[in-house]
Amino acid sequence: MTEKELGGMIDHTLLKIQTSRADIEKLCEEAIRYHFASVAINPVNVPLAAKLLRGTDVKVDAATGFFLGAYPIEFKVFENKDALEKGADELDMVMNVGALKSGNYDLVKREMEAFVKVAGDRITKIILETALLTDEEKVKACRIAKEAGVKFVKTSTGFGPSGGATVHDVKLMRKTVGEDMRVKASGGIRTTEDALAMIEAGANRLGTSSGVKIVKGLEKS
Amino acid sequence: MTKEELARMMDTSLIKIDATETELRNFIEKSKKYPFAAVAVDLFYIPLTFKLLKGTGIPIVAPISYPLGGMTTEAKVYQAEYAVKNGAMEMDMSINFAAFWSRDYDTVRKDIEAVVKVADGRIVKAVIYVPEMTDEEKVEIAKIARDAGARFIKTCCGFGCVTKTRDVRVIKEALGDEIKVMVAGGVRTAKQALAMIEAGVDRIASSTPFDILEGVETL
Repeated sequence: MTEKELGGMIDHTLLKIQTSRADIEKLCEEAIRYHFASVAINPVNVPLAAKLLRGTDVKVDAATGFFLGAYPIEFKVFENKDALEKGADELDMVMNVGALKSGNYDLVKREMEAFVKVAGDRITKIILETALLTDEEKVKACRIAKEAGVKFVKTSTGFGPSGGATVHDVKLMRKTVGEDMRVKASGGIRTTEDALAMIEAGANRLGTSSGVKIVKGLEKS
Repeated sequence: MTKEELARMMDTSLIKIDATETELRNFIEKSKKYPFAAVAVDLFYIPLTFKLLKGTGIPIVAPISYPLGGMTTEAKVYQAEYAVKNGAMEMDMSINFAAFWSRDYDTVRKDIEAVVKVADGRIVKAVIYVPEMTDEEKVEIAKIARDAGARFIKTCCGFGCVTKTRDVRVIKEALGDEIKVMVAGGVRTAKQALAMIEAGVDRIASSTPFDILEGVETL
């Protein structure tokens, strides 16, 4: 795998509270330089990133319902629409995890359908927060996502209390959704080794704040 | 100080990614036993919480762009409108951190003002992140929040953020009664709660209020 190929699978991510506009500028510069798929950022930073990335291949990826996910559907629809209007190309939305765990599958399904509808032809990724789910719940969420027409199932927010992506979860998600749906691994991916293990397990996209280190590490591995 | 007196100074909260309906019902049932200042729940659970708290007089707090402060002003306004419509009486609103760290204080102020306007007299608390702020920045944001019409500064957003008594003193010494201070993060025991009150806080936010209140007896 070349640096460019690996870079093309990475959503270069910066979502933490400490993020300044200068940090977003640096993030965008790095994304262009290393051919990352996108910059994954909070909606408040979308207008700036959209301006800086205009005319490049790097997409603007907005994290919505982030990171609690426990929002009414109508708000989530509004927020995704707002992010698209402000320049987002892709949307990573946190599922209503509590509703899934309460067995309220109907709500989870309606939420994902509304997500797909508002996104139109844009790429949608639904964040499951796998570390907080049983395997049964992970499978259930993946099936609902597939039925609803979401493009990606994604493991984690990176802010969950119990950790991020694991090889086990990515394999399970891949097995559940099959080959015609995509899987994004995120949360705790910090080294080239981590990244390659996730790809080996079936991930098509990686969400990480260590993208530069990861592609640079490719020559050594 | 009695348990009840301490409870009156506390916001209790169940704000987490995976709160189930059963968990929420149990939490509200427990919370009703004390005269808490307010109860904070995820936005999704506000309508249910409103039903469960009916007749108790305990106000509901809505989290706005909480905790990361990464939502746009338009999204915050939408959340605030939803909160008002569904019976919330207070709002804990994370500030626009990206603008604050970039010293664009005008944007920070306008963002708070937009939510204060929707709140229409209800209490708005501007949520900041003291561990990453210099003393000058803590005072600056407290002034901005005061000017924008926020009633409180909330020092942290939980999730690992810890407030020290010193952080409270810095804000209180500069602004006195011009803005109230709610401490969040790092208060786990009755002893720590009393130390914060001594430092001048007006309210204490906690996701483990029952443990703290039980500890009042042993002081």
